[in-house]
Amino acid sequence: MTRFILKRIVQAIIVLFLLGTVVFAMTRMSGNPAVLYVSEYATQEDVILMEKRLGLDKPLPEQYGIFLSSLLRGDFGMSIRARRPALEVFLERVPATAKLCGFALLLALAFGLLGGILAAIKRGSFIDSFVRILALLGQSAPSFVVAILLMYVFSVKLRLFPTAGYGGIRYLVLPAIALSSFFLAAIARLLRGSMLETLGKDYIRLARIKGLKERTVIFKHALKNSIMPVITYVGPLSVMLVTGALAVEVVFGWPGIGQLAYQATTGLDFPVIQTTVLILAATLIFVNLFVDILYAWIDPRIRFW
Amino acid sequence: MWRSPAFIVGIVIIAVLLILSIGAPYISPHNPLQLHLTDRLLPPVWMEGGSSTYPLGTDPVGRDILSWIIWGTRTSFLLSVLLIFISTTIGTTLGIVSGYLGGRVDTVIMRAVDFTMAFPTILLALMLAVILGPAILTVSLVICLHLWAGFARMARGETLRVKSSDFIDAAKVMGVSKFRIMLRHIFPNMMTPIIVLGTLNIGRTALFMSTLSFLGAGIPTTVPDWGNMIAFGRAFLLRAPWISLIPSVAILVVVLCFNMMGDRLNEYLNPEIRTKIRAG
Repeated sequence: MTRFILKRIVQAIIVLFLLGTVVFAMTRMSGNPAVLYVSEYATQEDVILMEKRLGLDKPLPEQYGIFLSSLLRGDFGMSIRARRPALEVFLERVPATAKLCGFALLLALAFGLLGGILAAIKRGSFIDSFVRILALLGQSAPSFVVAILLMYVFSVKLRLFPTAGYGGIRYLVLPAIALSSFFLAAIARLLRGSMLETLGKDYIRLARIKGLKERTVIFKHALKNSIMPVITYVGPLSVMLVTGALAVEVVFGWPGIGQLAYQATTGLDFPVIQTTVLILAATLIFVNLFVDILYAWIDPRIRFW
Repeated sequence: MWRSPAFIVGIVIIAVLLILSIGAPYISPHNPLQLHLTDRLLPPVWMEGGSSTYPLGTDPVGRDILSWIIWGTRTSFLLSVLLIFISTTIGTTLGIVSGYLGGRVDTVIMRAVDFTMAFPTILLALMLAVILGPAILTVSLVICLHLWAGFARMARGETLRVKSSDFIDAAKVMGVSKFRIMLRHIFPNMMTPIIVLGTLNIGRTALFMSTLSFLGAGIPTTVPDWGNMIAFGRAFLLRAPWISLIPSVAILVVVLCFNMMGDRLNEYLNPEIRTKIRAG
């Protein structure tokens, strides 16, 4: 097991390097990279200063070295708009996004698992059809569309919730629902399929013959064995959660990382975008690493793959 | 399957999309980019104040929404399908090569797949939008980068499954070249998963593209696209909700249609699921 973990950690570090390289390559893709790091009102002198800082007069490998070493020192550049270190600007926004994603994930898991189980036990019934249709709809609507629809119905027309902003629970409800919809649907479908397969197995029949309460059969035996596809999904889910959170934050004006990325894109604040890409991607690499290890711990067969 | 109502509805919708996207210049009542500054923010014809000149209303600068929606099928439908074709070709080829040749080639390609799947492509799109400016080519590149990995993984899995079969051994013994084996013997076995995965991914592509356009990192605002129109209408949700709502419904319908078709195809073509359904 330890060898597996070590192997995976080494792989993760390699991928991190790759990430840095890709970002670096992208910055050198068009014209003068120095232009990206200064504001649109920069003078010729400002640009020349930035060129010096980036070491553009030096050979490319040396530039790469400068790039990596400044990242490792925690220097992610200066936000052009905020005129503060980009890293600082980024970290300020993390709590808001964490709240949103956390709550959305909770909703998706709670209702997704519930829906999946219900649809599987009551297969063919009205509840099954209802869950399936809802799941299909949920996976067909991009998160920002759900966000806009929810905003229109509940904020504009019914005035039940505020349209935008950050405050108490009231501001969190609509964005969280919008963000969770896709994953709720996916989880429900995954679990339903997996449970249907499990429920047909012999050991379930044995459990019932033994006289175990139906609740025990379902939750203790069937669910535990069906949960694997959902756990596997956590990896791609976290990537898509980032995408979704971005759009939802923009629609609801939620002051998180997503909204920051959007403002940085439209405001051409490249250092902030670079910081966002690097840190978010790095986080996802670690999440995937963690999921891989968890997966191997649960299912020993994976370790020898 | 062919008689299932869901499937028929799906085929009809796809046919409509095809006609609209190809015939846009002839079907669309107005030039979607034309501003009609005297007719801004008009509601759709069924609401008070609407007119039949602009059946779905106009946007904040007077562009006809119906025309925008019709022309928008080109990006949301035609372009998505094209990108799927390209990603499928690249992904499947790399997957088969990776699975069949094994060894170093396999490791390199699979690491690339892992990296791609772990990377939030939307951030890549944003970065490119800042560096290069939004352009159709840029979006297309990002989307292909986003999609190829899934196909590669599937193709590799199928290749591994088929690799040790007798008929492959027979071909090898007969002296068939590696390339020919991969093309003529291995590839035909994965037509089913390709079709299913491809259909399901059209929906995902349309979703992703509209999200990018909405955020301003996708299709440029000078090209008709549903995501763009939703972005334009966001500030007017109270006064003129139709600007955002109509394209939203359009996206929903298209993605729903392809997801449903993908599901039906999966049930029909995938032998495991088919027997389960027959067994009831």
